[in-house]
Amino acid sequence: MWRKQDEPKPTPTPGDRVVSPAPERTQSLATSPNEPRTAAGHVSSAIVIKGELTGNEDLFIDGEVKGTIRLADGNLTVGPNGRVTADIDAREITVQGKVTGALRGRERVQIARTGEAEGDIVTRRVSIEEGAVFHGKIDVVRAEEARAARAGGMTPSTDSKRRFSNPAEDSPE
Amino acid sequence: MGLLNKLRVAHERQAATPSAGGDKHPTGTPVGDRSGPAYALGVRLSNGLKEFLWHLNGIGNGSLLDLGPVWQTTVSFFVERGFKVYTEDLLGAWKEFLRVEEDRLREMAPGMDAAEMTPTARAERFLSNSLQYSPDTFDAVLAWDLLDYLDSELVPRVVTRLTELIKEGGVILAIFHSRKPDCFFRYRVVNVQNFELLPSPALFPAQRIFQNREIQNLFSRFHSSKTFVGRDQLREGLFIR
Repeated sequence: MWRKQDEPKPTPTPGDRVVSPAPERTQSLATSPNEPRTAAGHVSSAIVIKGELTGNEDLFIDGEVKGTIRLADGNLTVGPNGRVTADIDAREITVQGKVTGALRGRERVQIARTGEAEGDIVTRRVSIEEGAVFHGKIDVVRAEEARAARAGGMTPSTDSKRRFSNPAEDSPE
Repeated sequence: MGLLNKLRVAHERQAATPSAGGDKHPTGTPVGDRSGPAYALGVRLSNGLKEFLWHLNGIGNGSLLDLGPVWQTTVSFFVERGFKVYTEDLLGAWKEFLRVEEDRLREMAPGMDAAEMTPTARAERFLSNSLQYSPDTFDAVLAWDLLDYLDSELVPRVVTRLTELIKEGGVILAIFHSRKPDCFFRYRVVNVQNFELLPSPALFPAQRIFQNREIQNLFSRFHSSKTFVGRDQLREGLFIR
């Protein structure tokens, strides 16, 4: 008859999608550079923090923080419910909620479409989604300037290579 | 149907079309509008912008103030050219200010001094919290069509404040409608000779149509001015301090 139990089990081929149980989420206290970045710290929407937050891991803030935030090698995400009034220094800063204060993202600052930021941004790359609200200054420093800033103190921007062209030269044919 | 009205209709049609969701740049910057029909329709060749940028040629590490809402394209355009970009959505701030003022007015007890609610006092109060920068901060200001929408009490005060904030030799690009616009637009720089008009929910109806003489009077403290008249009822004014 039908010998279903003897049928070979299908083995996944490289093209198949393998669904495996989700790995148990762990919070590592020390992440190595090769490990994927995860939101190690989480300030939920019911939490209010006043003071200085420092660390070396990624942080997700969906609550309220007033003070200063320094993440030596961590990324900061201010969630949609997050309300932060602080000067922030982090590797990457993503704003989905409201932030007031100076934002220093050593690699990148992103303001999402739900984000509102007021203050000055100093970073290497800036990304602003449509619908985002921003009031302040954007100062994009180049890699060498960022290195110099890390070494000690910010230096003013050097001369830019790209310039505006003469309209006469740019006129359409 | 005027060109601006066509733009608005086309933009509304596109907004009503469901997106496949694949038009987002990995960085999160929307780029669909760069290649989509709205982009092509809303882009406007601008002699005023070309002159504006030509005037900025050679300025190293300049500072630009954009008085419209923040846009990635505008920010990137100037940042890539070594500029620090300041953005202050003055119309948005004015709208919010008026909302707060209306609440205040409702809560004012009868008999309280109403002098501070006059348009002049209101304009002074608004500017005490807006455009707060050191004198001679900016090399360039993008004012867009802001002045068409502000209260008549506020317009000369804003221009006076901008005159203080802009460096000698600095330049302002402003746009004036030649007739009342059909819809409300926001603006962003696309490249060295084009900006994009983005139909948006109206914050205010246009308050007035400036005559050329009125514009000259407003910017009388500026060293020189140039006006570029387009066929789309837009006049671009370039004012050099």
